[in-house]
Amino acid sequence: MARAQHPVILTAQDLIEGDAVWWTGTGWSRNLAHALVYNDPAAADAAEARLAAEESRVVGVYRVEVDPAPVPRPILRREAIRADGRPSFAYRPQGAARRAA
Amino acid sequence: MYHYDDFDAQLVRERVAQFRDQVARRLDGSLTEEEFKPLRLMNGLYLQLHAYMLRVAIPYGTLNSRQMRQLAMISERWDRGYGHFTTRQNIQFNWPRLADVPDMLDALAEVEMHAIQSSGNCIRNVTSDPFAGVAADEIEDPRITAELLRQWSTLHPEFTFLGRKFKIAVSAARQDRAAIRVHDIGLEVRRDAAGNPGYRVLVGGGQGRTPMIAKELRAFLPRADLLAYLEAVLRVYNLMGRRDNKFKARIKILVHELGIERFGEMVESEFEALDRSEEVPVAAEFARIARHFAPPDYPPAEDEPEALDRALAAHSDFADWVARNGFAHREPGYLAVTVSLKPIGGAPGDVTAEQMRVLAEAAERFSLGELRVTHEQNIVLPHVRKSDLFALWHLLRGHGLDTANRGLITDIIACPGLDYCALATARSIPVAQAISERFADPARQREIGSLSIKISGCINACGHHHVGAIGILGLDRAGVESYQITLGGDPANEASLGERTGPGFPFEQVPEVVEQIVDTYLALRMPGEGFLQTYRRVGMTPFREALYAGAA
Repeated sequence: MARAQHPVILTAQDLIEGDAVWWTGTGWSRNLAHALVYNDPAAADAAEARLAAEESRVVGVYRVEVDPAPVPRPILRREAIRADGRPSFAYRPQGAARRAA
Repeated sequence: MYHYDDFDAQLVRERVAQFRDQVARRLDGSLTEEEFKPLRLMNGLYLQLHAYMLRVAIPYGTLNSRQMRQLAMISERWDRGYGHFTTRQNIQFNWPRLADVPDMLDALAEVEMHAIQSSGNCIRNVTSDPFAGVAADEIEDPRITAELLRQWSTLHPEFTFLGRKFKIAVSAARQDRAAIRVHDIGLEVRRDAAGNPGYRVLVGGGQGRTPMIAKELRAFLPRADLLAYLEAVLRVYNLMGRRDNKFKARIKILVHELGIERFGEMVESEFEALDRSEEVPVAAEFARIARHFAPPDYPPAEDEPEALDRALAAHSDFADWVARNGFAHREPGYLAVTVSLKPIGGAPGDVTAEQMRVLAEAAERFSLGELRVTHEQNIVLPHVRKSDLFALWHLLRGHGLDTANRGLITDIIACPGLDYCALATARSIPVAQAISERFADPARQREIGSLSIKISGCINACGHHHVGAIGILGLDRAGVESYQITLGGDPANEASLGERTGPGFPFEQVPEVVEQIVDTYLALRMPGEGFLQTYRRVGMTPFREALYAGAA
């Protein structure tokens, strides 16, 4: 497969919550806007490999292609849905209570 | 229904304690994710697109009111107040925190439930007929065999690390309502000429990327040989099945590659060689379990209560619901009722905690405390007195559980798809919702008649699209969702796999495509014909012409 043409960000899932987190360059954030955008594939490769080796509080480090401006937005629908942190439809049946976040 | 004995209760409690320790070791860093993953999967815990997902086993889909209430409590306390009933007769919670899962499992154990083997390369939840113990055409209650197999396969040391997952379904009726022909092993309870009970054994069925209809391995297997024979089948599979390629690791591929005759010879040879000196006698075990499935003491019930006739005459919505969602019960004065979890525009199989409690109450007041989960992602109240139907309908109606669409075009099966599942390649639930909205008119649904639509959001086929009269498979084509349509799939006695219409369609176009298929069917059907009958008579050509007219 051809190399990514788009800038990438690095993501994983939080070990305890299981939700998506984004690499900021210094730590993991739940805020996509804080994700560090890599324009250099080699730098992304190196960071991905290092973070994958250090996995303890997160699971499954991988890269996501993004449209970088004004805030990073994933190109693929799967990643866009994941970045939203919820299904693409009104997923909770009417009246469903929510566990305290 | 089955109740745990001390051994069952201890086994489940010990398993929860073991998993609690494993979670603690994962959280303190003693276990890596690579080490932890197979352990959590064996306890039904996945890591999905947005969160962890806990899949709770509901053996052969049978629940009591107390268990349903506990599921409601679990969903509110540790999840987001709802659950999703699956095509495997299980329930999934989509948002648990890892640290909470041991407490959730403890809460399940309190009501004789667990999540053991609801994932992993092992023998999964044994599924069965949701009308077990109800249907007039059944030889015996198939859940006795299903429970026997559950106990045999739970933590079975030899079959804990199979090449791939393994699914068994049991039917005991003439009409197959358990889709046994698309399972790794399908068992059909039979009697021989002398009236002795046994099984027709089918093997090598399945869906996924290489769908196959199961082949007959034994026309009649005496009951006494059931566990030994299945052990021989599993052993041949375990030894001979491929482990080099995940996509070729299911038993169907082995049976296909060896041929059913050669595979059968190997099974028979293994079966003959088995040391059965320490085998638990099946007959005694069967009899022990059968006591749990003795027919309930049905309170007396009028077969044609006058009050029901009056209510049917006065309320056409109620009459439509009874006609559509009722299922004949062999006990006079009773009816089994399907509670549809497919409201127009809803997510198939989703129920709120509040609805779970209503279902529990409905079962308690009107169904001798029992519920069933169907592989069509609905709920069955198996034992409803006809004289209680109107009160039941009123209760359900107040909570959005009165949709009169069992088996109709809006009773759609859909996997979670791209909105939840880490493996999915396309959305499923929004497609189901759009089709459901399109065909919302109840009169139109009734005019179309029984028609199954089944939607999968990837090639793994959790939405059973291969056996949908209309099957819809969502794929990713260069970053864009594309939906392949198949026609003519059937999971039952005349099992068949759907045939592709041709090139796929974009997301937005799917409801229109379904409409064109339906219009073509309505124009071609003969009086009294269902969709599959028409399709089998006229073939693919007219449908293809309707869908691709004008295409280059």
